[in-house]
Amino acid sequence: MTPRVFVVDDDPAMVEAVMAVLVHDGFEVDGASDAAEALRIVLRNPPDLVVLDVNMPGLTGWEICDILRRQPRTAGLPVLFLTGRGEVADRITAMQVGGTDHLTKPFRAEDLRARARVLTGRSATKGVR
Amino acid sequence: MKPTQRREPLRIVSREAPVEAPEIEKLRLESLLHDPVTGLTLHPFGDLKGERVANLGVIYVQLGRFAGVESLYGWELYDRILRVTAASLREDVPASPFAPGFLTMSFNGSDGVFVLFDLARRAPGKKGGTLESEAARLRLGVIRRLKQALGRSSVDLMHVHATALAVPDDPRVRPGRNVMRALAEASRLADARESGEKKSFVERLKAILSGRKLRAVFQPIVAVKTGQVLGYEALIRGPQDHELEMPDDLFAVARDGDLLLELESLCIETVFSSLPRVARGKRLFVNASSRLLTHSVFLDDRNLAEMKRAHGDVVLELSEKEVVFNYPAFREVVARLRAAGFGFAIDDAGSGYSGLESIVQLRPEYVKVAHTLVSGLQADRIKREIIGSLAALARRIDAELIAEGIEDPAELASLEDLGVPWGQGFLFGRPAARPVVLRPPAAKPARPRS
Repeated sequence: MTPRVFVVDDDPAMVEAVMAVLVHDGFEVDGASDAAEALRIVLRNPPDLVVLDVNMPGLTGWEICDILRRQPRTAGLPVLFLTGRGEVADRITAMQVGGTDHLTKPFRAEDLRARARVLTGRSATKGVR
Repeated sequence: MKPTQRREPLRIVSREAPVEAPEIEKLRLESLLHDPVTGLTLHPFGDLKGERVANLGVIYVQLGRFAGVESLYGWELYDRILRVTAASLREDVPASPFAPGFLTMSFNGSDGVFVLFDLARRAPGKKGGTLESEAARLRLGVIRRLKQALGRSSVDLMHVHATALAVPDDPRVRPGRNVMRALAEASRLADARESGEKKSFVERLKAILSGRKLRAVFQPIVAVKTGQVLGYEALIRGPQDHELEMPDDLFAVARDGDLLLELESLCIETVFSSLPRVARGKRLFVNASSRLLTHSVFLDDRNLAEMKRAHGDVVLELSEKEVVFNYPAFREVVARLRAAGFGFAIDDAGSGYSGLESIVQLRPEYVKVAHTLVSGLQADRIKREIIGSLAALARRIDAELIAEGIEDPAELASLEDLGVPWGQGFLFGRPAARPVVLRPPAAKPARPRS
């Protein structure tokens, strides 16, 4: 079955860019630029991978990941943080909220594809928490 | 309510019941009210539902703040400690004679768990067991399980305390405030007990210092590919089987007793007076704080010359967090020590205090990757990512990376893949007065690559 990816970023252009990269690689991709809306969709129908921005109005990516980890249906869902925040402390926060992987913007298309492949290939993997 | 019910999910989201707008706020609130690690509530009143409790019993189990476990060992180990503690209490509370009156179990958000009972609903048939003896039983259960799970000597020093308190209801007082005061009082009692123990530990440290009873042990640092020995890190131990045998414990107590400089000076002296033969021809890594390095007694030319005489190739290891906060203050000192022939290493790199700032500022010859990052890196992409960026930075400033705490061949293989040249850990040899270098089995033959 085609792995399904859900992209969350408050910048619609970024959502589209990520979607384009992954669709090109044969993923089924959906996305949303409203964080709360995105969380609702992911909780209702968990994909095989969530690509998550951190700085967003309303809910941050860290809050979303923390909520996903607390819900039985999404507790083990791979979460790839795709963010401009690349400091070591930010990456550690990503681990602490249960993130599975971390990629810094600007990113290279092949990096994103490679990670998406690995992460969806092991979608049963638990978060690091 | 049984304590095990506290982990219950908020609501299972299903296709039939889509999560609507207000639910997101509810999930967010639930996140704020419940600790993710222990699964315990952070807000015990919610479970009391505004009811008055005629005779409230509080048992408070506190993990000592003394040793500063989280800042010493990192959040991952502390998460484990908290999980074990919460699980232990969940398992032991139902066996209590007070269990029928169990009200709630809450986490104080940092280092203590409150177990609340309605004492009037104590099991009638069950004999024995005062609230105090229950507190003691729960405490022993926590200590036993922590030792099973972690097997560290530091569990002793973590000082698990338990206090018990019965608070009769006072109708003149609002019930919420009555509970709040009971919790504050229980935690004050625990603090008082802890400070008594602190004093006795400081006394024990003083005896070690005045009797000069420290020992130095040495752990090899080797090339991960070939096993070639780069050097040895000198580590400090208290007397064998003493409660203060491990360095973290020694330093935790010293910090508390304002004895850090005394302890550190004796550490340095001990290291240089007990160098094993194998360490002489190799690089010697010695831990130092910025406090020590900037102290006039250490910086004294004669002292430096003596160290150089004892060992000609010394690398001073400075912790990442020390450098970032203190660098401007000791820039000149670093220059002077370099001129005197000392090298530098950043210790605990990537433990998250400073980003990469401290490394850029100090320009060390070596960057030591924190063992918390090394542990289990083969199964953790974010850890590998952080080590990868440390490696890139090290290349840029011409420093070499040393991975600490390698215990597992799988970790070693991952480090090799990431291009980390040097390693240290049980896999290559334990710290010992006369260290022996091991050749890990996985390091010798070339691994088949998938």
